[in-house]
Amino acid sequence: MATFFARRLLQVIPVIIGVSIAVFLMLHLIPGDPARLVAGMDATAADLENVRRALGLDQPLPIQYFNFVARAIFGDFGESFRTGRAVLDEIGFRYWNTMLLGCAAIVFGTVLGVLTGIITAVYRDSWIDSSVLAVSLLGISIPPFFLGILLMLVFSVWLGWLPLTGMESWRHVILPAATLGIPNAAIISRITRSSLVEVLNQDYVRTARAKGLSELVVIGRHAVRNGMIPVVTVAGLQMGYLLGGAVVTETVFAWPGIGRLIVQSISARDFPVVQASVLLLALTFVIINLVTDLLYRLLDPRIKLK
Amino acid sequence: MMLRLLTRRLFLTAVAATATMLAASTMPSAAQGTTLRYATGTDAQTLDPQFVTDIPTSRVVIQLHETLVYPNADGEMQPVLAESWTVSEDNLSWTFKLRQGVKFHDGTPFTAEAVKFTFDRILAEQTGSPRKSSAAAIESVEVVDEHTVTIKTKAPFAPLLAQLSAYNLAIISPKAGTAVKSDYSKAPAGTGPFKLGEWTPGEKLTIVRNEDYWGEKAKIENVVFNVVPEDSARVLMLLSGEVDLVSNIPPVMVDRLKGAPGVEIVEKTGVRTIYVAFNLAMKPFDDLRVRQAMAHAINTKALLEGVMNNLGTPGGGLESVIIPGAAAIDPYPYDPQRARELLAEAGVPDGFSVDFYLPTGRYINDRQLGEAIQAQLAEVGIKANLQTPEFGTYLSMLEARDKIPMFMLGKGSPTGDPDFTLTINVGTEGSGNYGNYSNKTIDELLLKQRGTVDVEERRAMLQQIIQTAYDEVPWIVLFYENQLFGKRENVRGVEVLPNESLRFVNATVE
Repeated sequence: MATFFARRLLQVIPVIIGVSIAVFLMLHLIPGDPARLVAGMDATAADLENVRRALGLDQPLPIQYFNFVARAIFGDFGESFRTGRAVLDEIGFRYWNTMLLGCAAIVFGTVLGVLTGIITAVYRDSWIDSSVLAVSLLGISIPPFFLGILLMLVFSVWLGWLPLTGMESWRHVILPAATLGIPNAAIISRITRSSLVEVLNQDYVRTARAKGLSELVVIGRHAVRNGMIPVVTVAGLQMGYLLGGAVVTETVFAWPGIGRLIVQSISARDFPVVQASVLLLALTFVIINLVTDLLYRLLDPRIKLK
Repeated sequence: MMLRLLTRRLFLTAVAATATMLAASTMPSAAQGTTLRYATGTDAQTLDPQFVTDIPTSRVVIQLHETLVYPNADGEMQPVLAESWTVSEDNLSWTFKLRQGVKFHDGTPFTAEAVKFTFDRILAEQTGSPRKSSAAAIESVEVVDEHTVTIKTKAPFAPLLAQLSAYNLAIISPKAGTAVKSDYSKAPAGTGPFKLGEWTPGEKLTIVRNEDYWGEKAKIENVVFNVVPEDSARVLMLLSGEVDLVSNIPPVMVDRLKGAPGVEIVEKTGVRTIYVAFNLAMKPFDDLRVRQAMAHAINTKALLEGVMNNLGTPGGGLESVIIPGAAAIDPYPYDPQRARELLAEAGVPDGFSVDFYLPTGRYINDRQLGEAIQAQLAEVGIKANLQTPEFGTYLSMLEARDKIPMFMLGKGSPTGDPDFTLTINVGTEGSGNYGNYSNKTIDELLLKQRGTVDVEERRAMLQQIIQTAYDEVPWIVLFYENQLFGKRENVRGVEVLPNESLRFVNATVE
């Protein structure tokens, strides 16, 4: 177990180095002049020179990369081109905001998905099954942008139950988490159903029923646990899609998260912010994968982590 | 069956009960009447005036800071921090008598030293201001006494007062101003009617009434700038009363909002010119007749009515009619027959094919405008292929000056004086002259008007520049963008200024 951890943590190093080089090169290869975007359309040529010098963009590329790495090793990612704030100040709170939203969405999606998945597996091929299938199809196909506006219209404007935008209280989390979580729930629901249907046909389930256990115990204790492994895999993978979907959701709900920040920073060619954010997200993915592996073992003690 | 109905009713009762509870706690937390809640699309980037390069940022900064002078609605310069001014015989020295008893937000007094400090700061290399050039005309600033300051220019510079009214040259406290950009933004200290309250970047910014303000104090206690990037979300917030004022309403929603109870639309001609321009170094646009043909083939009236829902102001001159001294010129009349004749004269009777570049999502309905223009040009045999690169890429391509034959763009006016933007856009060396337009007369006139202090004489020169550029068609002006705000009807006194700024001093929420 300990060696497993150590090895997995060591794997982080090449990932981070690779990502940092790739991001740095991509940013400098795409057309677009950060100085022009900082200085604005009305800037004169002299202003542009001034900005370029102030941002260190007048240096040759290898030196810029070297400076970036030399500072990053000590945890200093420089300052944002746009605001001049330290990059870590700029992305730190937004990262946690996105994680908060992502976790809320994962909880929402998993709970709803697993519950509907179990119900449809138990009542498979009934009208419940087919209507849940229809709804989840809708859930997967609906663009998050549209879903977000729709939820706002219904729950905030018409019913007045929930606030529209911002993040001042727990009630502000519900709509964005639902927007992000609903497509997720739809997928998890389908995975849970098919995995559980398979398990329910296994011999040991029949044995459990034969020895007189109640249906609740049979499903709850014996079947669900074994049916959960594919669900955990998918839920872990979904975290990646969530971060992608977060860009749209954060924009619609004015949620100050890292997804929106990255998109804005790419448009503004705010290199230091993009570099640090992408590195942070890469690191997050590695950790999520690690947690997913640990969950496997928790669910099925026979799985060995090497 | 009975049981099912019962549980269903129970469920609904529970939902209704929760709803009532939630609704009770949805009540706005800020007390009505003391706070104006404003939803804007983007957050301020900085609170340091010398680093402001975009409108949403300037709208915050100008509440906290003041300039020496500021134009009234007719474009006449009014005293703000300067009480009066005189110009020397040789037109090189401008002496300003400063207002007394004014305090910065950090408690230090406003003096001639502060004026000198401000201008020296933006001009200093190590400050690294992206708008250093806005003070480029200044040779030196001399403190005469505590409340008198003399600004010397390198050459006679007529637009100096207009330049001094720009947000980049707002006066900052020497004490707070030793910190720059983001450090200054933590504790900005201007003399404005509002002070910074709290700022959660990317989320919201609050300004509070300055109780020590030298002039008439603001009527409202707080103004909250909420960052809401999505257009429809802002409109929904206005409809539900979650905010009192929103900016940048999409034109398609205007009609709907006009009919909505409790909501009013505020519309005002702005300084932003939306135009189509040509690269005169690329064929066939080196030929004046081709450019004239384009001008007759594009129906600007139809664009304004059909695409813009009439939310723009017509005109043919480079500078918006709202700018004092700008020439009011009619757009080229729509005349496809004349366009065909001109094309035939230029030797391309069957038209041609051209790549037409435009931004998407930057200006109101920009993509739709491009498509409409494409259809209009097709009428006279010109095939325009729409190209919509991402904006950063687009700007780089424009700056190369040999990649883009025809493009759409918008231009504002940070100083409200034609000198600044005309120099950039139609001067031969101008940094925004992406179409390689060059006219000796215009270059000479640009230089000459800068040194002409007489207002009428100077305006005549500026109008001649605008007229010449109209005749030679390096650009076709489509219209001047109107500024669109939506507000709750109980909000009064919010002033929308022509330069896209907002004044909250007289605002009230009843």
